[in-house]
Amino acid sequence: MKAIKILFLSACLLCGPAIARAQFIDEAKNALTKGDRSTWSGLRFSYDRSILKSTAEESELKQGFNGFTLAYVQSWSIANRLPLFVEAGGGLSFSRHSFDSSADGVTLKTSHNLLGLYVPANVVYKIAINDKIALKPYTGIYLRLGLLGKEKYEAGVEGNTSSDSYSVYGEDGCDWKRFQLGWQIGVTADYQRYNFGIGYGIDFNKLAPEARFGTFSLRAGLNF
Amino acid sequence: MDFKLKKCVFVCAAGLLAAALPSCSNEDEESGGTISYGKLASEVPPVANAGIQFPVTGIYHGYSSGFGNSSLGQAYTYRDGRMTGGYERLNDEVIEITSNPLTVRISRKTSYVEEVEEYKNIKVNSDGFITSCECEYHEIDEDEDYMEHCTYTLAYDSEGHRILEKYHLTDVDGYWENGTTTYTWEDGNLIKTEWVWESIDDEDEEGVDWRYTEEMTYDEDETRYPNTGVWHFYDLGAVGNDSFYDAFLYAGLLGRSTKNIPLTFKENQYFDEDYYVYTTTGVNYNQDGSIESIHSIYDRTSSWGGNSTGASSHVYFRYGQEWDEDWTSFMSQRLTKSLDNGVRKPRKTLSPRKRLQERMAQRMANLK
Repeated sequence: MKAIKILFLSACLLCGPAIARAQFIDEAKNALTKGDRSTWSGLRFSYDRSILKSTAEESELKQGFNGFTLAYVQSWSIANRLPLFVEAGGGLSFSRHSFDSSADGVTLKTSHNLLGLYVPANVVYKIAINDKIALKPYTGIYLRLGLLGKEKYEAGVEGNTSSDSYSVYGEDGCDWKRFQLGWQIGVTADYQRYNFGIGYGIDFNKLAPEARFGTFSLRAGLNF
Repeated sequence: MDFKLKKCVFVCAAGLLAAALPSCSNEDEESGGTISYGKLASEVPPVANAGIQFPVTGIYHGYSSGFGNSSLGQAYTYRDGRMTGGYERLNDEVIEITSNPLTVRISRKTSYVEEVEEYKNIKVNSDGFITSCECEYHEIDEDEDYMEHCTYTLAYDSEGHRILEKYHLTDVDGYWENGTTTYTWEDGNLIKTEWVWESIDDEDEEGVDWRYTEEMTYDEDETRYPNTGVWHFYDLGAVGNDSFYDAFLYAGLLGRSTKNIPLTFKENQYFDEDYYVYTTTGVNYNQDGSIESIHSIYDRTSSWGGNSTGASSHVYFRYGQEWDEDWTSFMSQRLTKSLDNGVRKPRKTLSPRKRLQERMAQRMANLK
């Protein structure tokens, strides 16, 4: 929730002056409805920092995943007078968590690797600062479909180790959910053909028993 | 202007990247170095998985020789080779084990207070030994609902011996405690347990480091004193730290026990400079090969006072007892006694550190 609040405040801070400026410049001509309704499509690459957090009361148990998403997005204008768009797309996302512990020669290594399809659908408001720069606050939902998910561990002392590797989807005792639906919010900025942004998303449903995903993203992309 | 703008954009992009890199640090440190891994357990494993040849139904202890001079410490029930529940005398607690998913609920209820600790999200390895779990403890009385939460991470070697245990405990008052225990095994026998932990002290709220060790030695003759699957060698405290109730050991949830009964056992608290040294004087076996009793003498140096040399201690094991599984009735009788005496026991806790102190205090109380 803290991250959501920070993102929301950041979006407000970024958008506030931009709106004021746009209104000042094009007040008479209603600039927000002129020249800002051009659609876009493009590739988006994001660094994702996901936290799988226990939903148990007072629990501080959390596991941090690092990953990336590569997606194609397409936009459609949905209002005649406002620069309002729907942006949807699809892509692949990969995330990995690893944990190493070593104490007195005893080691424990665990890892999770997740590969999935990522399908976002956002409502975007485009605010043109000038001919080259535009801000695009957005919010929407996403669907993530887990294609592959593997958990591995190895523990032991000096060659006397135990290890195992298994899918987190479907195997007995590993009933992680393949389908994840979530809500996301963020803001991106276009500079010429380039796009940069930040965002945060949180799953509606639990990914693993007693655990839910939240993801902070840093994005960069290219518009066609 | 274009050049400046472009430069600005790339500076911003570099800034985003720089912001991303620190966030790659290990988030797990925020949960005290613990992690959740393994498969969610649906039920307790057969005790045979942990090499327990004879499911123990009663553990008794006394400071004078003879079963008649001992008193019940723990009682366990089984069905089809799997533990179904139990009772711990120290705090008059009922242990309930439920399946799908596996949860272990330990409760104590009096007219003053209700205390419940529930182990859940229990994940296990292919042998059914716990790799991680979470525990919630509630103390509910007329005034408040006090709560503690603890996460555990454990690891085992290829022979099924517990070699690592980490925990992270927090409570609603801001107290926290992190601990790591390493277990050193040699030829199937546990030779050293080392437990270090840090915590916020209740009073001065500064980090305090503690250390507790156990060292065991064994007879060179590996056929002497074979262990058929018990964990209590010298008194009502099982070997290892006090993170988990002893029921977890006898349920086969924490790996295999030692191959042999130790010849000597030294327990040492560095912080208090207390130690016990036990020497095994004999192990008696039943006709079927199960352990009937373990006898020892011990020397104690204690900051609690009352140093002693050559005192005796005796542990007795019983198998196949048909305990009345109506634990509520059983407990009710015991609690009536407790209330008649006007005794209100102190708050139980998940804190292994506090449990260790409680165990020490209990020992001293028994000796007086």
